[in-house]
Amino acid sequence: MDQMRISLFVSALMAMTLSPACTQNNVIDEIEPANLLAEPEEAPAPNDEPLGEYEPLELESESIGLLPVTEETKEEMRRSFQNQGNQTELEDNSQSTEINRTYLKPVASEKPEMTEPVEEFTKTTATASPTGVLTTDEVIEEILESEKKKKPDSFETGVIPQTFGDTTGQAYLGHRSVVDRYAGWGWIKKEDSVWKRAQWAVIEEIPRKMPIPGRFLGNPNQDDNYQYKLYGEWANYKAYEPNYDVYVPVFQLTGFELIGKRSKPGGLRPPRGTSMSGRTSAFSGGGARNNPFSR
Amino acid sequence: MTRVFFCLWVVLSTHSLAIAGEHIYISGGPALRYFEKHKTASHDRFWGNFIQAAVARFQEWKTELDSADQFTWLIYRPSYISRGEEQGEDLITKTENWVAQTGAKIVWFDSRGELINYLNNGQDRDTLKIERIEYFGHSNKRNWMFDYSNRFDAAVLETDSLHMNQLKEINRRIFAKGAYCKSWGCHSGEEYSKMWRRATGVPLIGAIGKTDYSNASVPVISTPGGKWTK
Repeated sequence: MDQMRISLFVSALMAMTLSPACTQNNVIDEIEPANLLAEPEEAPAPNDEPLGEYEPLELESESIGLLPVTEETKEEMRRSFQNQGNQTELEDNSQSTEINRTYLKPVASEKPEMTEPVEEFTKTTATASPTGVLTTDEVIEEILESEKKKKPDSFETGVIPQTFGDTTGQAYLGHRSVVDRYAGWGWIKKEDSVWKRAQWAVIEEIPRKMPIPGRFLGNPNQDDNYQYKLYGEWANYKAYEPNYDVYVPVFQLTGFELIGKRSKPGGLRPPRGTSMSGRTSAFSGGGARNNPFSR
Repeated sequence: MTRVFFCLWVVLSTHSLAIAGEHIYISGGPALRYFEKHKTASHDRFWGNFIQAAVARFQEWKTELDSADQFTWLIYRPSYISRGEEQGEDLITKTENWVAQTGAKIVWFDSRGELINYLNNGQDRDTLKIERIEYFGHSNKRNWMFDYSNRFDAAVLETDSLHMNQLKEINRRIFAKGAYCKSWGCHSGEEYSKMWRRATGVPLIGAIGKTDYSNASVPVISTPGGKWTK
């Protein structure tokens, strides 16, 4: 019996010391302990404040696409990197490596009920991967190389064509509206409808094949307050607008006709606040659903 | 005495089985240069931001990986395909070769549904609990966006993000006790962390402020006064 007690004691001791550690390398301030028993909250009430910019990712603010690949360019990019001390040295990766990957089965619904393990296709390939953790120079080389390979956008002529793409079928009227820190193209309505019934929309383009009109100018924001006849259809899905946490309708563009510059229709305001709250959004009168997951 | 050693052996064996768990990385995808090139704050000039940062992060904790553990890397596939087409490169294979350096098993996913499906059911969660989830990708304080500015300019297809109001789709029982979760995206600590904990019972370390992936290493908080929280 004593031996059993000893083994139980040892077991408990080891459970305490060998349990998976919740290692945290960073200084953490726990600001608000959550009530674990509480039901998940709904999103906070809508407000007019944007969620905050989130441009975390790039090296510097201006595109490098036009810069020549010179040592000066590289040096400029090197200088833009911070915290070099954190960088891990390049590892020796000359050996072959086995790739272990899985493709998931497509799921039919947003709440998949899976009863069997995912189907796995394991591919084993002998490769000599050049990198583990890339060095700063390697990242710069990658960027420069990809910029060199990128095909030029030949449609950027500086002039918006009078017509482009397929201009048959149902026509809509579109008013291009550039809103600072707000995703989307502008207002779209049926030709015979009034502007107050227009919907704020994200346009789904086909990159380099079916661009929005402004891309012909190089910078797509330069056609603010231009109007067009738009051809295409509304998609059966929405796009998430990240600055104001809203879901907006998507228009799949197939063609357009240029009308010209017009004054902005009155009374139109892009949706604000969260679309998850159940409150009526600015465009709900146009048939948009507040909760995109209710269908 | 023999019985003591036998008990000790049983305890050790059982314990080593019990601590086997799954470490999961989730990587979102890069934006298209088509949408970003003209912008002042241009995203994702380097297609591999969310892989590079994660590989660098792996160097920090890889010694914690027990031999019985599994390391799974979930990567949002469509963005790497479209960005690869834009660059004229096979970024799928390139990513696979890169990730292979860590020994992780790659699982490509195409939507939030597939991601949650894997988390909940991709393994036998009665025996293989999740010990770690780390997210590398675009985010705001309410949403993880796997597909930012790739299909739409500056926006995300609704099914390709994990909003904090959808976190309840994650089964609370899939996590190991003391599981470590961290979002390396921007602003996650401002609201997302709280909702994650309420939905899953597990804390999520997130940033108050922006995070910066541009140092070719583990992301750092770039907002003055910003910090990690949970």
